[in-house]
Amino acid sequence: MWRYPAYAALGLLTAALLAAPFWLGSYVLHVLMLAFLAVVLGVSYRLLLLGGQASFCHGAFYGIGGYVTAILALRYQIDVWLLTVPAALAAGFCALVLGAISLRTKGPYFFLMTFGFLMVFDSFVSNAQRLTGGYSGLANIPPPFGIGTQWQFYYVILAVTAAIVGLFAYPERTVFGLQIRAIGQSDQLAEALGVSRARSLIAAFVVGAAAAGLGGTFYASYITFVSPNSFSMWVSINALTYSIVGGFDTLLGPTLGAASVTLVPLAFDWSAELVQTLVAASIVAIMMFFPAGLEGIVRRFAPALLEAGPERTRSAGTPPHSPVQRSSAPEPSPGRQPLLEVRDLRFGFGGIRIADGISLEVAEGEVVGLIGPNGAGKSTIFNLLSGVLRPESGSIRLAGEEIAGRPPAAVARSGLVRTFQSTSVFDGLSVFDNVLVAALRAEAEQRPLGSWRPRTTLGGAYEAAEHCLSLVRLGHLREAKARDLPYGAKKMLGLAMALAARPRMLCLDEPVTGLTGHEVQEFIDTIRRLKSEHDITILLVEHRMPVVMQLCDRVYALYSGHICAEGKPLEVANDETVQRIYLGEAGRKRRA
Amino acid sequence: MLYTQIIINGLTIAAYLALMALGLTLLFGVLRIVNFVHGVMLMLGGYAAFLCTSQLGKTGYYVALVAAPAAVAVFAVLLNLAFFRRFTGNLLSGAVMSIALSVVFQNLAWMWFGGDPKRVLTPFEGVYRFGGLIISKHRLVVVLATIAVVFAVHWFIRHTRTGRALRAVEQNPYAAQLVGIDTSVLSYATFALSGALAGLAGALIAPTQLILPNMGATPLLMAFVVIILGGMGSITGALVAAVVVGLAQSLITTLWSPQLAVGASFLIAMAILAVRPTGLFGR
Repeated sequence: MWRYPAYAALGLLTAALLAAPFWLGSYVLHVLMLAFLAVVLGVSYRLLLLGGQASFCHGAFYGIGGYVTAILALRYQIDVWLLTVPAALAAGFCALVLGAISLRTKGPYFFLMTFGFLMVFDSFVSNAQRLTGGYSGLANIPPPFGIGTQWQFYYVILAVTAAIVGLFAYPERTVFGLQIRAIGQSDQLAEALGVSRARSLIAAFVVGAAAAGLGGTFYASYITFVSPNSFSMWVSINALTYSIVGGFDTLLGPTLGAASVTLVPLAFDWSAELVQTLVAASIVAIMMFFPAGLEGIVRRFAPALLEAGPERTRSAGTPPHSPVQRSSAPEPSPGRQPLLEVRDLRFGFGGIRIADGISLEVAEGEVVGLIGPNGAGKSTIFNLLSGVLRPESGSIRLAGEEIAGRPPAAVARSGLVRTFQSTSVFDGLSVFDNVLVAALRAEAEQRPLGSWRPRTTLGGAYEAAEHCLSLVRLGHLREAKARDLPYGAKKMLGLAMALAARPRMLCLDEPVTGLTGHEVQEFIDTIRRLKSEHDITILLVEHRMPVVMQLCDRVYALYSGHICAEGKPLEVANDETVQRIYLGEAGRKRRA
Repeated sequence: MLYTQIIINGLTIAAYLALMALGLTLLFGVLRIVNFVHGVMLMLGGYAAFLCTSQLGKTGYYVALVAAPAAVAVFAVLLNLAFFRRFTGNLLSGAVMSIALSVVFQNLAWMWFGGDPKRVLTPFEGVYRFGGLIISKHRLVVVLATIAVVFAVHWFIRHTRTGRALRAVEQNPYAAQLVGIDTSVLSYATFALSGALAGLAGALIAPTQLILPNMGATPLLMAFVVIILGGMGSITGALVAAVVVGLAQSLITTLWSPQLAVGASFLIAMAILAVRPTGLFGR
């Protein structure tokens, strides 16, 4: 119902903007053009925010574009149309270097490094007198070929803005778009499902920087003048402001934000200082009281504007329950050679030895338990297997391939997928999208273009996600936000996500801890079904012995960094050493 | 001789930087807050010193050395109460919010204090000469005061109950809560300590430069270089890095150009981070 008026409003706005030079004065036109460029900055900045990172040098990339354009156009008389390419490349290259250095670490380093980069940029353009003209800047930058009047320039900038907004609408539909959101929700979980955190964030950063550089070209050419002041810290603050004021869940957010921050002060006769103060104060207020920004307000009152986005059309196009049965494990290979082979694994925290020469094997199709008292190092072993920790020595082979020392995402891609002891889901995504992140990653890497493909071309992933969701009986909750699920359902969702990542080997870290008796039984049934239907291989860490007894073919008992017993579940449970460790000397005697 | 002078100047710069960086790194280490308002706190310390000396004359400076840290500590506690408290555990949003907040405060300061630069008198006038080397008496006082403060902070953190609680929260806030440490009270204590350090830095730096609402901007940037280089949250790292950055800044300023100091320092810090991604002493 809402959709048609929304489209009508959009049509009217487009018509008004196209006709602007015919009915608006030169000054208003000028401000509109600056607002368009602000939209370019805001929209190109947003991808990084979706990934849960903020930078503080977007204005510097805009400035790099501007300065590259000014220097090349003035020194070598190259046409501004052609300069869009070196401008975007230069900004993108700087982002690549900066991102490669600092996006590998987590925490605030990236943000502070970008802050530092802005300082370096500012210091460079202010002091490299001969190249950049120092504080007085560079003037008389020519317009692009064929553009002479303001109204012609208006259409150029309008078209460039529309193109860039269109360009950034594309990732929304791709695998990458969903992955970057997943990283923003939980980078640890995304990596465990095989999504490479650093690579995705660097991609988002570089693409955004290149677009800002392109915007800088047209800014420099339109204003005809660049100086350190044109790209002061304020441009970077503003790029961030647009998404804070507008929100950044969809492209509408930064667009609205950029337009309102640029145009609202126009309605009043305010000094620049007052505008700055008000903008800054409104950032503080919005962050404290309306974290979703203007977009949140639109969502509340005119949801149709946002529903037209890809999220809805996609899920409407998928059948609710796919009948297709898709094996989440590859065909078992002939012979019973071990799928997972751990040899002499060593690791310690400081002086405490957690793994002191651990060796174990899991054969194809086997369910193996790993038990041990609290603090025996079970979770640490999982972290070593999944690449979260790097072993000091020893080897971990998956189907003959050495995976020790690989980063978590690479381990997951090679087929060893783990779940987490505490519940771990992408809170802000729907239940279905949670599973889809894993399924798409598995599907996309076998196709050309990989994560840059539109999601809808990967129908197999949708079917796989649907199937995995029905395996854990969560199909009816597919549209719910993951954060609203009860505890037990979250744990089952975690299992579905791990299955959707197409594991050759599944490592479950205390999967039934905190579940009710009924839920535990359901879990046991699910694993049994997986085992009989898909011949799946599992390494299971669990405290509840009945579960271990029912599910495992074989059990390893871990104690103070060593495997102290190995064998059939009953054998291990009756092992003298194991009983002494678990029950103490007295308990063992009583049982005997 | 020139290089000895550069080293002496570098150490006096290092003293201011250490005071600023200590407060910043404490806030980050204990509360995971990146506080861009820290520069404003330095500036308030400077204006507090101006108020004292303009009312009481030169001897008022002794009053300022106590009043400025106290006043800024109260300001910092109010900041936590009104703003930072709500951003606990949300590092990036807190950082962004604090940038905006610092802009608001700085612009308010322009309106309130006006744009005409103020001067602060010091009772420690004149210079000492050793051979050809020159060091102003005030700067010597700054270095000595900083050394005293660093030892006091060290003692506080190592040997008091509150200090031990701070270290506990730094290592694991959740576990600290479980053993009965009131993390909320502690966050106010950390803000107060951090504010006192910034206020003292402001009062100490005040006589050596003009007092203006933006006087905290450059020291803040340099302090960030220091804590990035030292490893965010590491106190030892901050102190070592303060000396490194102080010397580098002195060298660049003397041999090259003072305008390059900030940019070049960041460049050096970034180069080091490329090799050691969590700084010299970071975990």
